[in-house]
Amino acid sequence: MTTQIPLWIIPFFPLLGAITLGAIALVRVKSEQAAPEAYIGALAVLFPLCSFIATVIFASGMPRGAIYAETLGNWISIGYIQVSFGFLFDSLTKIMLLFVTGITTLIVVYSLGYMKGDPGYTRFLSYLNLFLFSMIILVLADSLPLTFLGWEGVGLCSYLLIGFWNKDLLNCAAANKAFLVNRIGDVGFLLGMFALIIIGGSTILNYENLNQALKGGIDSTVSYGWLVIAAFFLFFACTGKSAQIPLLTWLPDAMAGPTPVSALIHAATMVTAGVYLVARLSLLFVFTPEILFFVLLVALATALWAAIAGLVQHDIKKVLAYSTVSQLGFMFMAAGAGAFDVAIFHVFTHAFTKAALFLAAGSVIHALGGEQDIRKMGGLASKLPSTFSIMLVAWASLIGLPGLSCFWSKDLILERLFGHGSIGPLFYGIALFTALLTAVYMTRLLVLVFLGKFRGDAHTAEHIHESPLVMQIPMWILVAGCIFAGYIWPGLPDFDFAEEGHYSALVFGIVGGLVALLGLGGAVFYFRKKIPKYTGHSELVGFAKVWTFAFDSLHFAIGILPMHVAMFILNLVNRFLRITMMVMGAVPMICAEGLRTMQANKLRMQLSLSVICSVVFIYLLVFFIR
Amino acid sequence: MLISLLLILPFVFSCLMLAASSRDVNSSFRIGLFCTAVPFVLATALVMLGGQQTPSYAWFSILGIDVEFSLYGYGLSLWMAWLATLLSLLAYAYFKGMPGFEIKKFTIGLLVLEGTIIGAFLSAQNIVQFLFFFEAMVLPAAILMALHGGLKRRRAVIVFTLYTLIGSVPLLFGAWYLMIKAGSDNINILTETLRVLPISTQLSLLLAFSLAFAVKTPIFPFHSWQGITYSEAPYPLSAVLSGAMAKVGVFGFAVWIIQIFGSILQTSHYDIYFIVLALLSMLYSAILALRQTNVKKLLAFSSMSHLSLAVAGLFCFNDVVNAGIAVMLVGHGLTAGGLFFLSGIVQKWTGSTNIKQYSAFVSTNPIYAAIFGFVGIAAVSVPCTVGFVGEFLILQGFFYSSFPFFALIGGVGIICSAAYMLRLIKNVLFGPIPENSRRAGISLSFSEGAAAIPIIAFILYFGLHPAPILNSFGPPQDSANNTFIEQEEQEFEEEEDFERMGEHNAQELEEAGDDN
Repeated sequence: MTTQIPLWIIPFFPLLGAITLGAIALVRVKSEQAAPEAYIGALAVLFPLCSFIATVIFASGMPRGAIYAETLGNWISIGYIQVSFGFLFDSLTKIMLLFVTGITTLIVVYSLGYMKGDPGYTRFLSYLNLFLFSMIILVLADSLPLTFLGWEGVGLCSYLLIGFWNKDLLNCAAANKAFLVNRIGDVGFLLGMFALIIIGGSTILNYENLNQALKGGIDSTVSYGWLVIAAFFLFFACTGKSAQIPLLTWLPDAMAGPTPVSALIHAATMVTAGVYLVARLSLLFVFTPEILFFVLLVALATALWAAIAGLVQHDIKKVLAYSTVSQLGFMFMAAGAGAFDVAIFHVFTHAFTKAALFLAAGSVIHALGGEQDIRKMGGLASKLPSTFSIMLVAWASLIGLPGLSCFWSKDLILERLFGHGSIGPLFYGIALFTALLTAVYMTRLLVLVFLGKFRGDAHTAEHIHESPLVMQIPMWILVAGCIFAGYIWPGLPDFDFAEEGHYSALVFGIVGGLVALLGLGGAVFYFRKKIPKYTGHSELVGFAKVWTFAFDSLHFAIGILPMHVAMFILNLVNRFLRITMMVMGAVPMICAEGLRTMQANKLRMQLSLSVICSVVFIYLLVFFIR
Repeated sequence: MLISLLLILPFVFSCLMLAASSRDVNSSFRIGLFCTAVPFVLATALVMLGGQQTPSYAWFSILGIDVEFSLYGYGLSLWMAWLATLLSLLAYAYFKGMPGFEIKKFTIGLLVLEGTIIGAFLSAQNIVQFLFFFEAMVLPAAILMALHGGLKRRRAVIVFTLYTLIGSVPLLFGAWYLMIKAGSDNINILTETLRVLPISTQLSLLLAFSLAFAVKTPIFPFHSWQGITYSEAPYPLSAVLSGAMAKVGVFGFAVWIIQIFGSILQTSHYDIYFIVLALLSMLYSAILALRQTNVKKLLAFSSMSHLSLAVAGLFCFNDVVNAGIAVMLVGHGLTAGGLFFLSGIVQKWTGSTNIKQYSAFVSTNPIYAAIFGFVGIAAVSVPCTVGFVGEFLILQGFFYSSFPFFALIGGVGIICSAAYMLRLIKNVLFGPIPENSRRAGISLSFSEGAAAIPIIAFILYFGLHPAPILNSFGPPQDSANNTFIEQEEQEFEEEEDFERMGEHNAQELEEAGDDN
């Protein structure tokens, strides 16, 4: 307990940054001259950096197993509902915060180069700061309602940033979709909280109280039922935020946003919020093994489905998006098998790897002047050597080549899956197959983008250039993370999650590495020769289309279509009611004044109606009351 | 004292405005601004004091009914009155920029409307007084609409006036019947009287009472008046109508239905029907809002959807939910009112009410877009804004009061509300800048910009710190005990009076019968 800084200082910095930059963006609206980018950029980096430094100070001064808690004040306080603004800093928070603030700082630096010259430069950086604030609240909150505040906050920032280039309505449609699909999950979050309130009042929404209540044991089967319902709905919320079946359709569309956003929000940080929540509520899920098993099944299905979808995409960012969905599936697999620490480990390593991949992809897109179709790339290794080396390391890490960071976490996940119950080996097999597919689609991406000959037009080829230094330095730091994150992990956490028995770790490592090599080799062999031809349009066809949009079709069938039918029917009902109203107004008029005066004095008609109706009502009342 | 001033001043000021010059627009505007600002200051002071109440004064006596007059300013009454004064002030500030307005007439009408709405909210004790204001508020609204409305305003005025007035006819007769039985118009005596009536009579009265409030709120299927009314009324008036006047309907449910008919509702389990109807109404209006292209109709349905949820929450009979409803109504007043004001500005700029005609205001008017985006997102009830606190408390009430399934339906409503709001935001703010648009010179006027500040400030303030509203409902356990004790004492004191009055009434009734 050596540190004296209050915890709220960590989210305070980015909030200040968001407000400052937002104010500058609004004030500068009228002036012809844009705000000086260097000054704005320095401000935008300063606040996340301060936040990161504050986190490091906290983390380094923290003894093992210590917990800092801090309550700022009441939020909602009425009767049995008592919700306060409180922060909780334990080892789980520590890890999340370290990489969230660190990677955000790096990506803000990268954005300075990527967004240079964009008219919304200041606004963009303001949103990034607002996002960091929400994300910090999400992981630092000590209770579910406050986490929900951050949860919706990151959703809102995601909405704002996906639709950042708002002159194109397609981007706005993607943003709306992301917000709406997340909103469906959020309703699950609310219902989950309500179910918990039933069990133990609103105090149980506090994580520590919840864990204590759970450790104290569940009294009756009634509250056990509510516990299952709560766990189910909270996991449902996670499927929204972390893009799992059935709410995963928004994430590939979210690639409409600028690439730094895809790297930060839709790969490294926000989408892992679901995994964080499951880990945070680990005790609740451990107490409801049915839901945990359900989590495992959903995760396996999602990982496999997304890996196959990743195989058939043409858009470089879409490949990475489906890869993210698939990797999130791996994280939930670990959580479903009860290995919450491993899930967070994979969150940690994946954050560096996927952020580096996306930033490198952004660098490629930047170099090609906005081209995203991998069929029109190729041979970029010699032209973009720095980007290629970054991509190479990140790629090697993601497919799980031994020694790199994602290898360690993925290996642990597979190991824990194998040991999970009697059908563990089956799950292990599916997960191993998914890992093989990961190696295949990632290698396909690498081969098509960087090897062979350039397939774009000559004009683009002339203008290919390496990204500026301000974009490269963050990528190289992330590459360091891709290599070493696996090694610094053992020093970081001290979870009290249940540990399971270890099998021979070496065997699993060898099998995992071999599978990665197999996928790698196969993909290189196959895609070196068979390069998909550019067909003149970017839309998917045939199997690729059916498979990719399977869940979009499902959503259309069970959500959008019924809604349109309901709209149609209710509109008829509404018309009928309006016509009834008008007819009721017209009938007395006809009776009173005859057809001739039908278009004359409407006021009189209405008055007569009121008299008649009054009489009718009096009669009815007298009739009923007697 | 303060509370009496709050009621009287708008009427006094409206008389003062008669003396204002209709030619010197600027001086009239300043006088009018003073006239609308003072009630808001008074209401804010009242809120800070925690509420006030006047004793009951004998008003008049007719047919053996002792009619009293008293003002009650606590809890929901207090906050709704506060909201009415705030929205009137903002409506006034926004209306300055509207083309073709006659400042003097509008101000007089607005002040009278404000006074009647405040009067209705502060009448939580005596039903005659409530009915007086409940009916009276229709007239200034109709006159304002007739003065400044759209092309079809004549029809709109007739529909609005007659529909709402006829809707309250059953309430008039029901209240009359109950008062004759009770010999008083005090709510507590009415409640006592109702308990001794036969069940069938109680239910008939319940239907008669609820019809009026269902029309006013409105609740499906009694909402046909609102589409044409809101779309023909001038924007500032629509804001006051949906932000403050429609809440008289919810307030009517909260006071006159829940308090008087509370026991019969719970014993007969009729509350379920009310919840189902209100939730149906919520879904119905939310789904219809999804396909509206007229911005006013869209906002009207959105308003109906939120208020229906509030009405549904009332029938949980849960103190926490009631406090949540107050928060939600304040939030809804701010967001719905704000959106009406803001879309009025767009209509002024583009000359259209069709949202398909709007586009790209974020590119041409970023400050306006920031305000519109903020209020629009607040209408979706994201945490940090006041709407979230309200919806959270109401929906948890469904769970807590053993209707978990209804919370799920409420959730569907929330999703729909996000869908139509995002659609509205997308249409107004985003998209390509239209060619040959006359966007160059347009910007927010000072009063329009300034009026947005309190909206945003209160949305955030109550979203982060709803304690001022929640505390006015007190810690439920304590307040429940207190009111219970008070009631018991009152009952004890009044028992003899009550019996005597009852006999008296019965005698009079018999005499009246003999005469007939």
